[in-house]
Amino acid sequence: MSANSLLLSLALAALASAAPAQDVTVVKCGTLWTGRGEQPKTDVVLLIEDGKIKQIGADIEVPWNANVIDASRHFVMPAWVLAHCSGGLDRENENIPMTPYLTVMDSLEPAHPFFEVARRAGIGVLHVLPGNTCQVGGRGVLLKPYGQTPEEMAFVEKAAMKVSLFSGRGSRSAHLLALEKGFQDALDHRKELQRQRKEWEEDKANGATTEAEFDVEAKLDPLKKPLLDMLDGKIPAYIYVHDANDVPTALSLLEKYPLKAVLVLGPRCYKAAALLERWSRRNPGKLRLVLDPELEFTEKDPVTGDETVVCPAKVYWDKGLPFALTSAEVGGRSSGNPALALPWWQVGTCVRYGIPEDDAIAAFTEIPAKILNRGDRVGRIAVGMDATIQVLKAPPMEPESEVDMLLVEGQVVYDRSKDPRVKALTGTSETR
Amino acid sequence: MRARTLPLVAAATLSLLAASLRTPLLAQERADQPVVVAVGRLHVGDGKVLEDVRVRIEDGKLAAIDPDEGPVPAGVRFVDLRRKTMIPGLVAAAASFGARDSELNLTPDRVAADDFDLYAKQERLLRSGLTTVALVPGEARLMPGQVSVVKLAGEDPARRILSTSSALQVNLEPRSRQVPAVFEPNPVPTDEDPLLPSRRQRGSSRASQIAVLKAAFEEAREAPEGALGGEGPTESRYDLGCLKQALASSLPVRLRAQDAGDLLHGLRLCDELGVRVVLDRPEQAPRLVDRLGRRGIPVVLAVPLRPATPEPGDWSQDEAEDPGLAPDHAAILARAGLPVALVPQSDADLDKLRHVAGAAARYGLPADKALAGITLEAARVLGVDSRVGSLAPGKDADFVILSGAPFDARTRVEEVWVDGRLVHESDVEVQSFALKVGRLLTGDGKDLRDATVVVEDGRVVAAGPWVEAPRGIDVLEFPDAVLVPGFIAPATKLGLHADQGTAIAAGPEVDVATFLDPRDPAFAEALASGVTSLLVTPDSGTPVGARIAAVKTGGREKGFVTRPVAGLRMRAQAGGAQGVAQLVAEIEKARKYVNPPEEKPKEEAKKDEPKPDEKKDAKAGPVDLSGDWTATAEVRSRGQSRTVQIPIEIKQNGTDLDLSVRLPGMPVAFAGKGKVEGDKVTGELQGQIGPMALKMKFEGTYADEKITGALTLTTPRGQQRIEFTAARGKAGPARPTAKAADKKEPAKDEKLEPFRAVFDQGAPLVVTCANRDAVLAAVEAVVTKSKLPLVVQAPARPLVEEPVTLPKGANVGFLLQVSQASYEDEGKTVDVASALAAQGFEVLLYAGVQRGTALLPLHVAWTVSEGFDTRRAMASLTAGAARCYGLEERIGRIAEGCDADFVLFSGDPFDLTSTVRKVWVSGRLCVDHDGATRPSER
Repeated sequence: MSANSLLLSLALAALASAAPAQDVTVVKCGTLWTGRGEQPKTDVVLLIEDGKIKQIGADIEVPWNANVIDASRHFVMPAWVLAHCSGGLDRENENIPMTPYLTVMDSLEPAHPFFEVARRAGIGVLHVLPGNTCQVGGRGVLLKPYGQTPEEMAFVEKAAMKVSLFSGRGSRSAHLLALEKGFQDALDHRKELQRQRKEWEEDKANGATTEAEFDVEAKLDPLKKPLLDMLDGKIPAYIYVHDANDVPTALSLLEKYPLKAVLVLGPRCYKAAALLERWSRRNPGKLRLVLDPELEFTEKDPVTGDETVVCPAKVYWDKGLPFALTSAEVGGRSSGNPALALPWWQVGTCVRYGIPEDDAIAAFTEIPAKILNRGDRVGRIAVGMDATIQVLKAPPMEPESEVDMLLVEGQVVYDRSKDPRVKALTGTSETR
Repeated sequence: MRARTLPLVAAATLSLLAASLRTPLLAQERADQPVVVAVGRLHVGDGKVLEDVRVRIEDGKLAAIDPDEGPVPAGVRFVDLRRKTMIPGLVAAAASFGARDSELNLTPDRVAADDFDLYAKQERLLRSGLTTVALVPGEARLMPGQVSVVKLAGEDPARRILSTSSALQVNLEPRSRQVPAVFEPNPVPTDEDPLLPSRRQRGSSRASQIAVLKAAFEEAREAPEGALGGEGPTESRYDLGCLKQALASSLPVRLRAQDAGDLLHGLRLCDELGVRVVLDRPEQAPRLVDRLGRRGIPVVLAVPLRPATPEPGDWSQDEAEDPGLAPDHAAILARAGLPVALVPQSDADLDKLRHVAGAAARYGLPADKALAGITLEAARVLGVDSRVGSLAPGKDADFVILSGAPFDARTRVEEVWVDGRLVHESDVEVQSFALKVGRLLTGDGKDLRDATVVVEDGRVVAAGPWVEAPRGIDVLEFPDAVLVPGFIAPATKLGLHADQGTAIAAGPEVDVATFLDPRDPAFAEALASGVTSLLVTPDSGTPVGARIAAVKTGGREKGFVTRPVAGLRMRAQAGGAQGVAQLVAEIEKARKYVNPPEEKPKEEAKKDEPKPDEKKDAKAGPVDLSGDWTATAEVRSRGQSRTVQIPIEIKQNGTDLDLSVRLPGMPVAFAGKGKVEGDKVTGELQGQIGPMALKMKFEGTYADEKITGALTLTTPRGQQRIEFTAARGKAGPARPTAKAADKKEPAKDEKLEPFRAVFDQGAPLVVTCANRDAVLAAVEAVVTKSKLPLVVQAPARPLVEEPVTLPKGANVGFLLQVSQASYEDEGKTVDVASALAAQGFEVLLYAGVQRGTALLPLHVAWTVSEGFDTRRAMASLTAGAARCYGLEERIGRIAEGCDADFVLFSGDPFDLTSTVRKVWVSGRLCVDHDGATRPSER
C-alpha cells in the first residue's frame, strides 16, 4: 500500500466515520425568502447539517452524501410558528378552576389529526397550552407536529403556565379575586416554609432539632410549586385576556408580580389598544402579545343596531404594537370558520385590512418565535438557525400556493406527494 | 371635464369671496383648548341657582364660574347656551348593571367595579343626563362586596372609576337568606386532607345573619394586616382589610333592609360595632324616622314610580301591617333632617331619574332637595362629592344642558358633557319660537324696525312690529341684527353635480327631485351663505324640456322637496307667428292631456268624425285633409333601420295647405305652405335649429284616407329622403285613449304630466329663447294666448338695445345670469338688470355655475353696486323669485303661513361687511355662526 493510498483510505475512513453521524440535506430553492425585510432570492441552495442551516448560496458544492430536495420550481420560506393553541389534547379544559400542577404532556395525543393538519398547513413549531376557561390551567409544551410519543414531539416540556382572565358565565370580580387568592395562597405557603426554616436554623443552633437539613424548595407542595415558578418568572405565564375590561387587570398583574408574561388577546380587547400602547411605552419591551384566531370581529351597536367589522390586528398594528398571529384548531373553539385554521388565511386577513405583507407574515413566523424565546432558532432562515422551513408551490399569498414539504430541524416531516389524505381526495399521488 | 375646471382667475376670486364668508370652523378645535359655556341658569346642585354665568372648563374640570359679562376671552372655545339651563350630571346612588352574585355568602373583598363593562356604550342612560352610577355588588348574599362608583362616559378607565370602594354592602333581607352550599373539591385528596362534601354556609335567618356579621367583624378586629377571614379553602376566604376599614369608620356600611324589623336590628348591630351606616332603599324607614332623624343617617331611597308602568294595588292597603313604599317617604325623611338620595325602583328606570325625583317633589319633597337627591346628595352618600354632583370650581366638568326647568316634564335634555367633553347631543329641535329683531326685511318690499316673528311647527304664524310673542314660547332676541327671508337660487344645477357646459340633459319625463340628495355637501355650502331654496334644473334635451324642482338646502329627508315640479323648461327658437304657433301647439297638446275637453260628448263626436265614407259624401269637391296625421316611416340611422312615427298637421284652405311636421329626435318643428292638386299633395317647409336653417320638401299622393310619399330634408350636410305612409290621427300614446272610451283613467304620459303643475299649481313655463324675437313669441304664446305664468331666459343685450313692451299686468320673470347683468358699451356701464326691470320683467339673477350658488348673495350685491335697485335685487333673491315660480305662499317672504326660512344678518344684507349669523330652514336652526361653532361641528 502506497503512502498515497494509505492517506486516501484514512481520509475515506474519516469520512465513513463522520458521514453517518452527519445528516446532510440540500434544498435547491427556486425562490428563497428568508424573512422580513429581505427580498426573495432565486436559485439558491440551502445546505443543512444536523438540523441547522450551514450555508446559503448560489454555488454551493453539493456533498456526495447529501439528501437533495429539488425545490427549484418552488418557494421556500420559514415554517409558521404557532405561539398559542390548545389542539391535540383529549380535552382543553379542566373543570376545577385552579390546576397549576397539570401539564399538557399528560394530555397530548401524538396521533391527533390536529398535528396532521398543522403539518399540512406548514406549521413547524407549536406551543400547546390548556384552554381558556380555568383560572390557572396548567403548563403547556413546545413541540413539533411530528413524533410517536409526547417526548419525541416536545422541544420543551412544561414550557409555560396558562392563566385565564375569562370568567365565563360567572362574575368577573369573583374570578379575579379567586385567581389572586390562588397566587397569594402559593406565596403564603412558601413564606410559611421559610418561617419554619428560620425556626429550624434557630433550633439547629440550639441543638434542639435532629433534622439534618431543611430545604424549602424540596419541601414545597408539588401542587403549588409550578405556580410559584410562574410567579417568580422561572417559566413564562400565558395570560388569556378575553375582554377589553380584562386588559387593565392583566396589566396590573404584570406590575404586581415579576411575571414573564405573554398576553393572549381575545378579539374584544382591541378597544383597550390605547391602554396597551400607553403601558408598552412606559414599559418598553415588556409587552408580548398573541392574538386570538378571530381576526374579523363583528359587533352590533346596541343603540343604532349598526354592525361593524373590526380587524383587531389592524388596530394594534396602527398603534405600533407588535403581535403574533395564531390559527384555530379545526373542530376546536373557533371552528365556525375552518379557514381560521390556515396560517396563510390569517396572514391574508391582515393584509386585506391593510397590514403590509411582510409584517403580516412576520406575525406568524419571526414574532411568535421571539415570544417563544426561539428567535435565534426559528422564524427566519439564516446560517446557524434551525432548518425549520416550508417548501411551497408558490408564494404564500398566491392562490395556487400549497405546502409541498415541511422540514423541522432538517427532517422532512411532511411531503405532500406522500400525504395519504391528499391521495384519498385527489385519487393520485401528486408529483412535485 | 373641461367645463368643470374654472379659469384660474375666476377660481381665485371665488376663493377670496369664500374667505369673506364665515364658514364653520370644521375640525379645528383642539381637545385641550379651554371651553367657556355661557348659560342662562345654573343649578349648582346644593339648591343654589346662578343666573347668566360663564362656566370655564379646563382639562375636564370646572375652572371658574363667572358672571356673563364682557368680551369672550381669546384662545377659548365659546359655547353659547344662554337660553338653556345647566345642572350637574345626574348621579344614581344605586344600580346593579346585572351584577351576578357569587355562591359564597361573604365576599366583602369583591369590588363591584370589576364586574362593570367600561367599554360598553351607555347611550340610553347618558341621553337622560345620567353620568354617574353607584354599582351595588349583589342582592342575594349577605355581604356581596363593595359598592363602586363609575362614570358612564369617558375615555380613560382610570378616570371613569370614581371610587372602587365607596361602601361595604350588607344585605339584611329575606332575599339574602337563601344561601347555597358550596362544593370545594380538593385536587389531591389524602387521608389527612380528604375530599369533603359540600360546605353549608351560615346565615339563613336574621339571627344567624347577625351572628355571622358579628363574627366576621370580630375576626377582622383581631386579625393582623393582610390576613384572610372566613371558612373553607383559601379561594373561598376573604381579605379582612375592608372590614377593618369599616370598623375604623373610613368605609361606611351600606345596609340594605326593606323591612322595619331588619332595619332596626341592622342599625342595632351597626351601633354595637361602631360603624358608619348608609341605608340602602329602606322601604319602611318612616316607621323608624325618629330614631333615624336624630342621628342624621343618609338614606338612598327608591321612589315608587315606574313611569309608564303602573302597578296594581294602592298604598292605603293594609297600611297598619305593611306600610310599603309610598311616594311621600322622601318628604317624610327629608323633613326629619335625613340626607336623601333618590333612585328609581328598578334599573330599567335609570333613564327616568329626573322624572322619578320629580315625583318625590310632587309628594312634598322641596324641589331643590329633589334635585340634590339625584346630584349632590347622592354624590355625598357615595363619598364622591369632591368630584361630581355639584358645579363648582375644581369639580369634574360633568353637566347636563336642559331646555328648561329640571322638573318640568316638557324639558328636554339637549346636551350631556362628561369631563369637559360633549358625550351626547339631542337631535330633537325646537320648531316653535319667536324672534325679536332690530330690522325685518319681509322680502315683499316691507322694511320693518323692531319686529317680532312667531314660528310654530316650522311655519310663520305672525310677523310684524306689533306682534306679541305668545306666553311660554322661546323668544330669541337679536336687537342689532337684520332678518331676511331665506334666499332662493332661481336657477341652478347644484346637486346634479354638473357645472356649466357639462350638459345634463333630461326630458320632461325625468323627475329631477329624485336625483337630489338632501345630505349633499354642496347644499351645506349654499346654506351657510343663506341660500335656503334652490330651483334645480337640468338642461333640456327636447323642445319641451326638463322639469324644475324646488328643494331646500337645509331640508332633511322630510321637507326637502318644496315642489317636485316648480316649473317646466321649454325652448323657443323662432320668433314671429311661427314661433308663437309652435309654442301654442305644445301648450294646447298638453292642455288637452291635462284637461280633456268635455269628455264623453267630444269623444263620440270624434268617433263620428273620422268615418271616411261620410266625409267623402259630405265633401264632393277636393278632399279636406285638415287635421292631425301620423306618418310611419323607415329611417336609417347609425346603420340601423327603425320605424318612426312623424306627426303631421295639415290645415286646408281650398287647395292651399298649412303644413307642420315634427321629426322625432329633432328639437324643431317644420312649418310651411303646400298645395293639393287632385290627389297630389306638395309643400315646402322650413325649420330652424339655432342658427341652422333647414328645408323640407313634402311630396305625397292621397288615396284611400292615406297619404303616401316622401319628405326630403335639406341640411347643410346634405339631403335625406324619408318615405312614409300617413294615416289620420295623432301619434303617441295619447291616441289609444281616444278609442278606449270605457276607460276612466287616461293613460299617463310622463312627458306631459309636468304640465299639470303648470295648469293647476301656477308653475311657470321657463322658456329659453334663442333671440329677442323668440322672447316676444314666448310672451305672446304663453302669457297672452295661453294665460300661463312665464319665465324667460334669453340673451339680454338685444332686449336692452331694443326694449320690448310686455302686456299690462303680466308678471314675466327674466332669468339673468349674473355675468350678463351689466356690460361695457362705449366706455359706459350698461345696467342690464335695471333696464330689464324697467321693461316690466321681474329680474331673477342666477349664478349659472355650481359654486356660484353659494355665492349668489354676493353676486347679487355686485349688481347693486353696478346700479341695480336694492329692493329689486332683494326681490330677485326672495319674493320675486318665489312669485315667478308660484311659490309665494311657501318661500321668499316672512309672512303668515310661509315656511320659517330665515337668514339673520349682522347688518344690512347688501353691506359687504355684514355676515350671516344664523340660518333657519322650516323653523330648524341649520347654521349658527354666532360666537363659536357648536360642539356638533367638531
